[in-house]
Amino acid sequence: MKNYSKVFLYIFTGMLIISFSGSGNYLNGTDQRGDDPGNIKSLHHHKLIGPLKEILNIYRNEKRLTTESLLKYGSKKLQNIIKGAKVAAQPPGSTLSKEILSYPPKRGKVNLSTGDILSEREVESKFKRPFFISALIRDELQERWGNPPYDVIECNIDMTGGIQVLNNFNLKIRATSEFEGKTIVSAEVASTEIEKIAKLSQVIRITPVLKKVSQNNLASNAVRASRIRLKSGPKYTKGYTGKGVIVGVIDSGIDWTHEDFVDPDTGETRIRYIWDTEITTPGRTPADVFGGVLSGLSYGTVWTKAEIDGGSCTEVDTNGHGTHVSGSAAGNGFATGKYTGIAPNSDMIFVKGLDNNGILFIYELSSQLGMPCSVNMSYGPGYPMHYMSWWPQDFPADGTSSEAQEIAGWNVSYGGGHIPVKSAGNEGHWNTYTDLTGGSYPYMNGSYHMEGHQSSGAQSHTYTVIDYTTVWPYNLFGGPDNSVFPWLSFGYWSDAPIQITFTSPNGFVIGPFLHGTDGGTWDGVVGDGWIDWYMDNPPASNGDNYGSLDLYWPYWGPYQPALGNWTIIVEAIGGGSVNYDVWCSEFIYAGGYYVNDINSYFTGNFSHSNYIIDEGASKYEISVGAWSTRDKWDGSDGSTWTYAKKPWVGTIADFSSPGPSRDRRVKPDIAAPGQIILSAASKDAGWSNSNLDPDGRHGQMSGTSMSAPITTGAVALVLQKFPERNVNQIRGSFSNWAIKDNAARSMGKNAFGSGKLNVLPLNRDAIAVLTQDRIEVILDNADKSVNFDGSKSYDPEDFPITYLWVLEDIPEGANPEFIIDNDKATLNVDPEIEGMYRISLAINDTIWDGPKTYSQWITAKFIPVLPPAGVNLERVVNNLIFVNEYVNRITWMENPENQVELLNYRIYRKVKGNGDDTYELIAELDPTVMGYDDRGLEEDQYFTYKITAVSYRGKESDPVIVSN
Amino acid sequence: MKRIIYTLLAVVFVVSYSYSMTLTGGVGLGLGMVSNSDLNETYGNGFVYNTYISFGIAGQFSLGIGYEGGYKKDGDVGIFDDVATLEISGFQLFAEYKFKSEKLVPYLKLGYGYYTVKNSFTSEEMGKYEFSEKGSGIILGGGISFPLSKSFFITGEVDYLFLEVKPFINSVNSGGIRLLAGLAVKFDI
Repeated sequence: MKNYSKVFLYIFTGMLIISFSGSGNYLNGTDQRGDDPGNIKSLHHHKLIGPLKEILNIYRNEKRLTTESLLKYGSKKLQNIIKGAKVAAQPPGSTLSKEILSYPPKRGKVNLSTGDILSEREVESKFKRPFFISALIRDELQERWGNPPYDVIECNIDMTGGIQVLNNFNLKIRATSEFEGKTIVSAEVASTEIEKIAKLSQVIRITPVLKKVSQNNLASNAVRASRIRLKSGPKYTKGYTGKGVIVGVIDSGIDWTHEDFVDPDTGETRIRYIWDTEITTPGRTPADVFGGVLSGLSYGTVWTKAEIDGGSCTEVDTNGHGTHVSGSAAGNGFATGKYTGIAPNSDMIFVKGLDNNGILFIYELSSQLGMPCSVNMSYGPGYPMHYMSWWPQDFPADGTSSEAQEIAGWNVSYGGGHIPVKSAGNEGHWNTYTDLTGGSYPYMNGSYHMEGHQSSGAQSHTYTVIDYTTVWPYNLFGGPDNSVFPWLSFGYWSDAPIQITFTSPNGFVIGPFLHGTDGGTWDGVVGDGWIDWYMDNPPASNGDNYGSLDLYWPYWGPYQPALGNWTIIVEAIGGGSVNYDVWCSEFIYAGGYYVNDINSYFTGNFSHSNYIIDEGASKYEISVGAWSTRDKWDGSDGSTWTYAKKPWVGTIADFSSPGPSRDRRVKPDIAAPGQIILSAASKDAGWSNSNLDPDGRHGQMSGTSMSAPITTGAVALVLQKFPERNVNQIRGSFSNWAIKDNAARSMGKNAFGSGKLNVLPLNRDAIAVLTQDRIEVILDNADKSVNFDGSKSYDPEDFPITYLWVLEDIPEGANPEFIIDNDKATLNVDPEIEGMYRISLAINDTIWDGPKTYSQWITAKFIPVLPPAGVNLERVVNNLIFVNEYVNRITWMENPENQVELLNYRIYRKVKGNGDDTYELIAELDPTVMGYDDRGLEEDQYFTYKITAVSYRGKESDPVIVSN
Repeated sequence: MKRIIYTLLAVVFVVSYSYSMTLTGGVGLGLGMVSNSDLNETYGNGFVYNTYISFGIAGQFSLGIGYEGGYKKDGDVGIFDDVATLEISGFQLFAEYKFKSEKLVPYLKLGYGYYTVKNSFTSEEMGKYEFSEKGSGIILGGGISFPLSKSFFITGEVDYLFLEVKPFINSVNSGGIRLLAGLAVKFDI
């Protein structure tokens, strides 16, 4: 009786829970309560009669009615009722799309002017509204399926081919992508069709397309883009400005009236198209306007440039995120001249709504326009840790998810010049801030991720469960109790089947739970917690295994698992080698709401690396982390603000998601400024005075959402110069150019990727073209000047050039004259002194730091004296009758090539065979004399002679040597 | 040389003591030639004079001693035409035999000369260069004397001097023909 009483009490409680719970649809369609787009795993809206029938059946079969039998033999639905919480019933063979709420990153703010501290909850309360989900074609669906409510799931269907078979089902194909031999179909499918489609032989898998949220807040110009462009008036006219490139942005909306998106010369918008995916106008969808490849995009409203210029566009950005992102990427600062984006002369295409089909839209239209494009995606699942622990199958974190491959397929088909840029996410917890509250934001000495790489044996990890009675919302709702309790989830990936064993703080061993086994609830109350495990999944398309487990406490007290350190032991089944990753998160069921919060985490043998969520892990996307360029800003309220987690300038932002990818590729690819970034503020977004700049047209935000558009703009600069470059090439360029300072090196590649984004090397040095009318000056001549001309020097980017002329070297004692006239110079050499002069010209394009110096040597010399020609030596006997005199007769001729007036000829003589230092000058002869008799010699005397010519300036020629 | 002179004096004395002697003194002037072609080409012929005294002994024979001098010629020597001077002078011992004749008295002469050949030249390159070399050689000659009176005679003489000198390596014939015209006076002693 006691047991029966307890059972009926629980059943009754469960019924009450059902009746008073929110009516959210567990298949995450639009929540009918309006602006709440859908709760995570909201309660199934059961009718009471169903569960009661089931309970009666169990009693008939088992002859007993206990909590254990209900949990053991009851359906999932009944179990959930009994538990009072969990949803996520999964039809076999398919996965469901998920909805999450989006919240800004949890951080408070500090008013440096007043000292006031705003808590994170107050920040959230100021947040206007969450982001919209992807638009549903309501009218069309209503026509096909009748009146709502109905469940429509946006998902990707991976097929081997034969997609025409899908026409037999209630779905709407939006787009297709070909990648690695499969067709990825982006479609909106009625939930009732999912199971049937999953059974088709052509279907490989069905993956929900998660609704995205922006990765907000905080960003700047440390990437040096400002140094490789020049302004003339209000517009940038030279250098790298993104001219000729499309910057595409997929985001919350854009304030197209903002002057930063207007061409200062024409007053016209720079936005070519806006596709508002959230409001459908018949006849104005991409399918209607463009057709062709975009024929599947039969939702939303396309606004053309003409309509935007005409003012008929009704799209607005009430969130502010998209306008801010667009400003960072492509704003031209025309509004106030204060804040300019990276690619101020680019054209733009904007997609409102966090819809990956926007990539196809932008790629296709850019291709039609004949322009390369970079596409910014500053969004992702709102709670990646949550997803990675609950539905790891959707986040392989190695680029093999359906969404990532869909994007990859488009990249491959459109080829180079189409570059997607992805924010890395705000799930980091780097110790790169100062807690100004004195403890409200302690550094997390743990992680949401652990990993193991063993060749054999088991690895032990520690997971610490905190006391949730002190944590919001428990303290608001008075829990934990049967209506307010934590649910701790663990999701894993491994390259071999694993088994997981839990040991509670009190020593109770729960498990092992083996991969490949059916999910269920650990029988009986064992230890300090209950485990549900879902480990019977088939291998993923990448060949790896995945699964998830939940740790919780049943519906009776204390309603939370045992507090303290849990030991989790992971090993390969059979004891072999395995590489695995496990992520943790929790959600808290609280009074009909599901709130994601992460308070318990791994504290022993953990990894601070959280693999980037799947889309950023793809090789076909450039993922961007965020680093801090400033730690405070001025608000329009006249105060100076910082964050309660005051960032350390120069290093990685504390929130920037770390890499690597799960397959150990470096991610993020690069880091760009993303902390306290000032950019365009949408007039419709309701900016707080603290975040709005005093100029009223710009505001500050932080997040990898800001670092991504800076990189998107940087990609546009690269495409301006190299329109055909693909992702790998641009990634390689960024890697080569990245600034690898102390911060980047010390924090490592998991934080910064290749380093800090730097586009300065795009700029080419000015090319010096230095000419001179001669390089040799004959001092005997009247003209002793050399004219230098550097006017043909040029800068490839047409930046202005400065000339710096320097007379570097002169002969000793010379007194030349060097006259400079901007790009020309004249050297008048010293007329009396021979020697070498060196002139250098330094060209600086005023952009690059280091000037290029080019030197030219000038030789100043007198006309060279040439030695006599035809020198001949003969021995002559002079008969003096009584005695013979021996004479060495030297004869020569005047050198016909000698142009200089001679002073004399010199005859040197040495005894033949002696050293050259024994030469003696024996004669200096008039230049008209062409011979010399060396007389008075003995018959056996032999000499060597040197004959030189000497100019009137005393310059002596090289000698001619003769000997007898 | 001294012995020869002393011997001649002794002979003269003995003969004069035994016979009646005559003493003739004369001087001749004329042309001296050099036989060496190089010397001749360079220096050419020159003036010479000859003074002598002779002692007539035993009728037509006479012994005499004389001095020739006066040959001093400049010339351009060698390939450089250095200016050089050649001097030839010296003493002679001779014997004469006069033929009997009323008017023109031919005579033959045989002598031996002791000469000095001096040669000097100057060039810019080598400066001054000279040597003085002695040599001797036979003199052969003959002539005709024409008495103007009992004591005075006019003579005409042709001599050939054989003279080789070798100041250095080369031996050079410095002799040659002498053509002399002179005046002599005879004394009986």
